[in-house]
Amino acid sequence: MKSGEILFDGRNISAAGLKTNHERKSHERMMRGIRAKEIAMIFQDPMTFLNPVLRIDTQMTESIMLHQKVSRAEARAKAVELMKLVSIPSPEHRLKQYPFEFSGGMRQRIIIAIALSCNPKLIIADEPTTALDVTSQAQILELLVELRRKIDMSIIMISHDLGVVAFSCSRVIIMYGGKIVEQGTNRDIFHHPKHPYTWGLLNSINDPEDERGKELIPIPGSPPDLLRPPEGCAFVDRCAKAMVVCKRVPPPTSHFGEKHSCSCWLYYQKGGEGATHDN
Amino acid sequence: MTTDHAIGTAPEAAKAPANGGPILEVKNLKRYFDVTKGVFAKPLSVKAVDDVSFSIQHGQTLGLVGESGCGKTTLGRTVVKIYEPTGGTVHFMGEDVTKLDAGGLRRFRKNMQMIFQDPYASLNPRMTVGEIIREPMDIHGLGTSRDREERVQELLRTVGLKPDHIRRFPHEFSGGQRQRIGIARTLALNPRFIVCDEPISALDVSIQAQIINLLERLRDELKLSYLFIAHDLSMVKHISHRTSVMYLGHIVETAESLALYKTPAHPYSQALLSAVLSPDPDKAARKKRILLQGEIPSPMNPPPGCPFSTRCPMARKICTEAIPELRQVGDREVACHLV
Repeated sequence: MKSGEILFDGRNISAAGLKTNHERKSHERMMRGIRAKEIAMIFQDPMTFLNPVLRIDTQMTESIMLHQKVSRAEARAKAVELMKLVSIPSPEHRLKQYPFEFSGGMRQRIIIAIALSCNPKLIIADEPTTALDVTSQAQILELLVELRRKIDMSIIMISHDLGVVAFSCSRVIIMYGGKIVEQGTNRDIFHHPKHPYTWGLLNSINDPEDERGKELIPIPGSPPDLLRPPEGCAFVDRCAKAMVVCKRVPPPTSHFGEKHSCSCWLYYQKGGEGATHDN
Repeated sequence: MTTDHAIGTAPEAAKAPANGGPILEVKNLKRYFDVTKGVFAKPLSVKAVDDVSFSIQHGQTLGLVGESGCGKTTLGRTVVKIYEPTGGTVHFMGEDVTKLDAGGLRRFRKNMQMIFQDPYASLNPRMTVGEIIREPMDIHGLGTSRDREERVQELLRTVGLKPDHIRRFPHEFSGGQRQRIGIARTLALNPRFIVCDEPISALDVSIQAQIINLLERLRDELKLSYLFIAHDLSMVKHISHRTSVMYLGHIVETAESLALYKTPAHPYSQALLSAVLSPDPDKAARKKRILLQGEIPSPMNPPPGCPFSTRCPMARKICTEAIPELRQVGDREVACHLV
């Protein structure tokens, strides 16, 4: 990491600015206590995350024994409990099986169970349903939302599917070219989008609930080459509202109310909607 | 673009739109794969496509949706005869293609082409874009080499690429551009009908709409018909006139897309469509989802009776005894004892 801070539960866990080997080592030691225990991760592809030659119980009890310092028997009991929590039928029997004996949706449930095993405060879910069919996608998302309520944790949901985001998230951050271009509550983003990229995303998809399909308006061009990042706004070459300034200077961030903000030159000095700016 | 059919317009292609009937008619199509586990084991077969019937009219798109493993890709491949059908017939422009000899197959392939899912795997990395697009014309011996060169240029413009891309290699292009190259190759022979097998699922969201719009424009300008296979239900609704829902090798419902999405009749269609997420937080919160219990049965050992009976919330005794036939019910075809 080059620079910046990551505050987790009030403490800075960023490795930026660590100079000596000693500092780096003690930072790594601290992170080992945080990873999986306090911040757990759910990955996109449930087929590759699990080790194909180990039984499910070995894979589930591993991190429980490591982080909670309990015996194998206790860890197994906990694993059974977790499998019940993620609604896998007949857990005692299923624990003895290998990953190939599970369907995609069931494997993703196991990964969620592993992520939950140390009662994390935060789960980072990286496209958790992209590899799944619509029916299992709905099941997994319902499960995650329900678990979030039940065990009081936070979720960062990384997704390119706006339907997934609309269904499961309370706040949304829109990223483009490595930067945050807009953020706000779920309703801010879907009902009052401000950034031309957000407009583009919403225009290029179809709402299956609509009676009549609308015309799809795609975003022209393709994403920028980040090896040669553009000087100004990263979206300038694909933006219908691009101005001269967009090409040269990175846009300032404008705020609309408490939670909604957008980085775009369109809103600079447009006091009308109660916007305040910072650079 | 110019709809110049000078090269590759076979006489049978020209007369096709006149006769009013469907361009493709599939009846009781079956495709089984034999799986033998061990020397002495009883030979088993996977019924990937089992007794499927549908038809597609000229200039129309039939969407084909279903979960992975339901047989939709196998169906697409059997229709273009990449797989030999185990049973049933496929009539394409009035001709039964299951009985074609080698010469007939060559003629047939010119009129029926395929767009593949993965634009990274379906283009040869060692051929230039020009060679890739020209290859079908070389194989079918269309026009002089000069004509082909010109046709490649024209095709590149048609799909929204630049003529000077002709000497580049696939790796120099993004996913969306590669899919455009694949589409140009598909169009090289002036086909009447294209099987699109998940053409957008490997692409970025912002690019998917570009490809969908391109496919729609080509359909209208070149009078094409599509079989559009996808698991993204909202895109299928957008592009298709009619949509078929597949489950475990069977078509369970076929209807006009708008009617199907508004009032699905088969219990599986209802569950599948209820799982689609709307990109609107208020609608998403209001929507009632039908969560299915259990898993898709193995196609090696399908349940007796209705394929969906093991998970159907409404299943009765008859459902486990007889396979429901696809029959006309009001404005649609449904295969369910209870509808």
